Amino acid sequence: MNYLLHILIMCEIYIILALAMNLLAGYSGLLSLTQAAFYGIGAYSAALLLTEYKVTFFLAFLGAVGINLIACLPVIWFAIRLRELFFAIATLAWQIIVFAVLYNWTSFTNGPYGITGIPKPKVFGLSFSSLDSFVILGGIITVLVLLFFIGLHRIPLSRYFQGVRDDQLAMMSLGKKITYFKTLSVVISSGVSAIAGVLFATYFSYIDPTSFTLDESILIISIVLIGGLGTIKGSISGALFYVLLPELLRFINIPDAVAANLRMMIYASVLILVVMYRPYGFFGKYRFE
Amino acid sequence: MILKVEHISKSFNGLNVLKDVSFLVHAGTITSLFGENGSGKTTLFHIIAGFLKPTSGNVYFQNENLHHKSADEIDELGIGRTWQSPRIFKNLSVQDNLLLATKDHPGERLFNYILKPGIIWREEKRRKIRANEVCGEVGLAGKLQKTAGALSYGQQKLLSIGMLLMNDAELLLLDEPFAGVNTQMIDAISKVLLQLKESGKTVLLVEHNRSKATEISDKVLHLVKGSIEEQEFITP
Repeated sequence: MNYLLHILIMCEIYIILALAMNLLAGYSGLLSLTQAAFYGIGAYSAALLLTEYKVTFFLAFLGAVGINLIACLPVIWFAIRLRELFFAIATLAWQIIVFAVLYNWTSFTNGPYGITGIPKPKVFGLSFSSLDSFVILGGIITVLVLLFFIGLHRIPLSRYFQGVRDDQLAMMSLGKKITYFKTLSVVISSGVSAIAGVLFATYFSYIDPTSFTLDESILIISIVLIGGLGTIKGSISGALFYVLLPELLRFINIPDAVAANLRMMIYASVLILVVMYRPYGFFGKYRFE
Repeated sequence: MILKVEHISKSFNGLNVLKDVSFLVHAGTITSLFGENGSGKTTLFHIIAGFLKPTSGNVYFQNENLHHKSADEIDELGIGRTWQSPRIFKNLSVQDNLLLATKDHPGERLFNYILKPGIIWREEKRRKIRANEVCGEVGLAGKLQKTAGALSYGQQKLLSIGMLLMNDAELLLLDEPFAGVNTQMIDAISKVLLQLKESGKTVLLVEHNRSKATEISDKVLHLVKGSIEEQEFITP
């Protein structure tokens, strides 16, 4: 049972991350390689606020989102005027910088040793320390994030994000300030990624920089590419696929010595097949040319 | 006179693409600009629309010098342009393309959703009605909900003209509106352009199809190797 609850929590965290990434890549056409940095800053902010400053979970939650809204400013400053692969490379630089800071600023982040003893969430006197209660908290937060994105994609603003994605030059020739829409997209995505970071930190009660590497950023991109860019159901299905498929492969009878590696190889092969035969992912409306 | 191009020259790394180009465009007329490939037509369009700065010379729109204005400021003044290959938003519906082209939609600003949400939805409704009208005006009636990328090439050109109408452009710069479309579509586009002229809009177009463009034009300019060689006034 605990195993299933753990899987559910991981699904919740990755659905939030995929939805945040989908706003950038799927709706705004911005291929960001720094999503794990946003996620990590959110997790570290919450962890430090909870352990060092002993604030409540609610304040740590708001603080992490707020800090992320500021922490994405360098990305906006040096990457927002760039397009396509150049944008991706600039965000890659920020990912590397953030990881280096988390890893080396030992006096603040405890470096490679990470932060331990992060308390479980307590909201209005209700403790979410058990697995089942954490699933409920994570579920409520995920549904709220989902509703936020459903709403966001129904308002006229979403059309401008998609305009930037489809043709930046055309947007400029129509007098639109594309940097404004790109900035907005990065800010919202960064803030939402922080929420996933808060859940991650309080669920595991321990974080270290290795959870927020470039590999993780690439993984988040692969989730939205496989699920399909530009749709909410694409992000959800991509996250579920990523979390559930390796777990399903556990039920195949593989010798223990090679099980972990073989599972990942099968998983990677499935990813390649999806990219080859479903270039729009499961439910995508758009793909990078 | 709505547009005055005065002694425009442009060179790239020592190569003179435009040499002392001057001409006038009068309001409510159609002016065609002809020239061989590489004669500088598109460069001239880029300069008028603010995507390039001239090496020397000035462009005036309604007596306002555009020299220090950016592309979006020039668009704001009322100059809209289309591109050789239609630059539409192919993954969006025709309606969304037309709505994207409108100016100052309150829904563009995030804080308006908190401060004045009612205005956003009123404007959205009003602009959707206008989009439906424009769709009819450019011959795309009934295609409002169709994905723009699924339209034929000629229809995409009509859509890009429709977007300029939604953008309230007074001067429409059309880059080869007849290129790559069949005769039937050329007639449809010509009809739309003449209707625009009748409604008081001004059109400056670059074209290779001289016969059709001359047929609908009030004035024809010949650009040869970066210079205006000839100005011809068409008498109906």
